[in-house]
Amino acid sequence: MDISVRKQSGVQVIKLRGELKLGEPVNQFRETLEELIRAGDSRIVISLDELHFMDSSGIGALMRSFASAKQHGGTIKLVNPTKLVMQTLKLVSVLNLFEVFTDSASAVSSFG
Amino acid sequence: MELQFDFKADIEAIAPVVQRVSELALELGCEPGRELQLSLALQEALANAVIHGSNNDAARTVECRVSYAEAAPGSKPHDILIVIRDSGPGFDPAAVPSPKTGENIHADHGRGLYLIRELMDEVSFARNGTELRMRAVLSKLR
Repeated sequence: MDISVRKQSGVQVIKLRGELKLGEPVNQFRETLEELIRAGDSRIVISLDELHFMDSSGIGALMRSFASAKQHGGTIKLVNPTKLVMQTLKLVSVLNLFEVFTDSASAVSSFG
Repeated sequence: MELQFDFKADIEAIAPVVQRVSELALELGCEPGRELQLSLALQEALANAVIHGSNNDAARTVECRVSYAEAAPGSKPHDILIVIRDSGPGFDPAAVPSPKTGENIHADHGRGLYLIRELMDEVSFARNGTELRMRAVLSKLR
């Protein structure tokens, strides 16, 4: 899985490409989010339009990061999940815990 | 017809099995997108067999059998039956809590079995939980 990170208007925008699943991809995701939050960046947008697979380990890592961001006064917002990822998040009833946007710019702006 | 995958209980060994079964579903003419649902269910099932059934011990083996029949040209694809076995102590599937109740929604684990049941058309366990049987109708999405 490829993870790219950029900062826009004080918000960390993370783009995931590939598959967020058990093993190295989840480890990489977890480390990236922990590092950002530890550094004081808890306002985070995750772009999912090129992530075509997320398993339960990926969901677990997302939920853990979400809780951590909240504890540090921020939150995580999602952008454009693909069909299967959207279905997966909906099936386990976590999709509605997140604000979901169709583009990163709107997600970033929503932080005010 | 049958495909047989026996592999060391290592999470790195899961991806090639999932990939091959996804390709098979497409070769059999599944509804577009069904191969992705099947891949996710299989990923979860094999991960459970490796982590919980085999304790991530690469000295142990996970067995995976995929049974299918090719449909006549122009007719709907048949179902796929997948049987996964591990050599662990077993467990009670009925005792696994729902990931959708109370604080479980916010948990960082515990969703795999639920996803399998939602994405496959039939799921059953045998041999004290060390054998998982799951069937997928390929002609429609869940």
